[in-house]
Amino acid sequence: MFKNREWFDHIFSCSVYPAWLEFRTQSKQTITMLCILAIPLLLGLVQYSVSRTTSENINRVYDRPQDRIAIYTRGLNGEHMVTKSEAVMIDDDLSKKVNALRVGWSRDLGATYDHKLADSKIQIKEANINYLEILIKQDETSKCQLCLFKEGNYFLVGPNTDSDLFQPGDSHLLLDKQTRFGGKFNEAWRDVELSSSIVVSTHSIISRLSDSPATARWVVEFEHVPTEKEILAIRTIINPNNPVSVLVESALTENETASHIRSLLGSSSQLFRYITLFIYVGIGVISQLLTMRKKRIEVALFRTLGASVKDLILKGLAEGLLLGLGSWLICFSFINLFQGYAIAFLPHMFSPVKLFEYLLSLFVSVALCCVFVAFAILLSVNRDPADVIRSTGE
Amino acid sequence: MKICNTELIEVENLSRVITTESKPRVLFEKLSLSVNQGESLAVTGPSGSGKSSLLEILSFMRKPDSGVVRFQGQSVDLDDSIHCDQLRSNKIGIVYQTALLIESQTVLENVVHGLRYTNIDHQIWDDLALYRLEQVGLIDLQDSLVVCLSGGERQRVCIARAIVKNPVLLVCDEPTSSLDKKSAESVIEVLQKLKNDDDTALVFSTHKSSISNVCDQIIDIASIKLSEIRTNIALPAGY
Repeated sequence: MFKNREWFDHIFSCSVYPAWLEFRTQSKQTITMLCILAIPLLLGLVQYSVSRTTSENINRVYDRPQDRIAIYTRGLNGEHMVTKSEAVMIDDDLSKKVNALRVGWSRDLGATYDHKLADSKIQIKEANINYLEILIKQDETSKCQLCLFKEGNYFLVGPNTDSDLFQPGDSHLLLDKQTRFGGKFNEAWRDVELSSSIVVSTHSIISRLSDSPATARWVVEFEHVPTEKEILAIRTIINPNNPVSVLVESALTENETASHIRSLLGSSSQLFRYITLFIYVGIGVISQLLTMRKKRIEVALFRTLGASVKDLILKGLAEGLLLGLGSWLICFSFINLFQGYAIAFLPHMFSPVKLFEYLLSLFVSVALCCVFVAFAILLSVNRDPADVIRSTGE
Repeated sequence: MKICNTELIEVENLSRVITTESKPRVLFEKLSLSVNQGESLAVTGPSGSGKSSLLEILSFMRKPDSGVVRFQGQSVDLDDSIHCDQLRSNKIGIVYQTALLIESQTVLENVVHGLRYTNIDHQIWDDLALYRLEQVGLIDLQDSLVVCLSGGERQRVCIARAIVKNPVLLVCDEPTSSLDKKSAESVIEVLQKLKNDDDTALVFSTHKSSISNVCDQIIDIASIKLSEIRTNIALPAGY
């Protein structure tokens, strides 16, 4: 215990305190260096914030119809448009990730599929040949949330927002009211008119069927960019006998799947991360090189006073710790000062920096600064102190 | 005058050769000398004659090409950097021609650096530093930044830092060469006082007679090349 105390005293008085003294007394130089080192840290954290928000926005397909994945398949029966084998019945695996994908339909008359969505019971029922009920209800008396109507070869969709206005089967009323709807439902209706296809929409799923007797087409909207596994699952659901025949295309870029887009996004984010790291290392190294002569003289001076190499390296590590911690604190203060405004005014660009990201940036900052300063000290220690001191007199 | 017979540092057959423009140049060869505790030695000679090199060897900052160095009767291996660091931190004080100080720190903080690597309890560091600052006449400037001091004051801070640990040997490499006459006199006065009051051995390199004249021994390094010389005690006149 006593030895530990002695060791601590030695470390403190020979390494930590001189480093602190130097850090404190060179105020202008220290503040400049801290501010410069805080810049790449700041860039890194802002990039994290922006990239996460972008990723979340891409995943929020609900608000971004251009990110829908279109799935085509060749219809097996032109007369019925949607056959049982083509029916989209989303399985539990998918529904765990995309709640509304629990919704589905079937051509089986009177067939009922029960699912749970949050606390509500979802019941999908083909009530008669003309319409399909999708009910979200607490009890039997609850009204229809969304209804899928069939008019000739068309399916029309009922609202879920104003559902209390409608009863299942009130198709005429629905059509009248449909014109009032804004947003997605309005678009859906227009789409029905223009392409003679129908759009079934909940908050999370849009299925569209063309009126071509030989082709069925669904547009499935996800709450997030679907993975390859999810896409395969959908293909299997649409055509269990031959999933490969189900074609998938992304609305984002022709012939590119959304997962590809996501991987591109990930790559660019990673590239930016490397660039930020490179800038940080560059600034760190340059700052050490600029103060190298001063550091060399100081090291020589301390060596003449009897400092060992170990003492000097420890002093360097303490100096790096202070530098890393200081620059991180500046970055932390700056982010906390402005991120509230950024998130409030530019919510589509920024999201709050998470604790993990703060801790990671602190670790990176301290570790890199310690490495830079310790390395600079090591280089200085290698120079003969007598030669360094002589050169100062010349 | 004190009579001290304890041998503090002794060198035997010391040689140092440097290479300039690809040609070896002998600075000194087979040099032997000894300094007793409480004695002073002045090393004189023209520029480039090897005064500083000799002092670097005597302060264990540089390894000679050949020869033996004994400190307090024990041979010192100059390859053993830990031992040399310990000797410098506890027993040897060094003052250079250039006043090497940490400019952004105060006089007191600079002097305390002299104690940082010693075995002395850190609780009395400030007291020791203040005592030495009083000795060198800078007690009133303890909180001043060294960047504000004159050349003579800066050199006195260096002396205070070198002697704050109460070294047995003080090595001074031309401590007054960059100072004006008045500042040089004040530095010499401090060193004389130190020699008289403490039992510290002093080794100077200088080409100023004002310093060499107050030393117990004088060695002209230029005249001992290629010859084996045992220094003689040459008391200056009137000392």
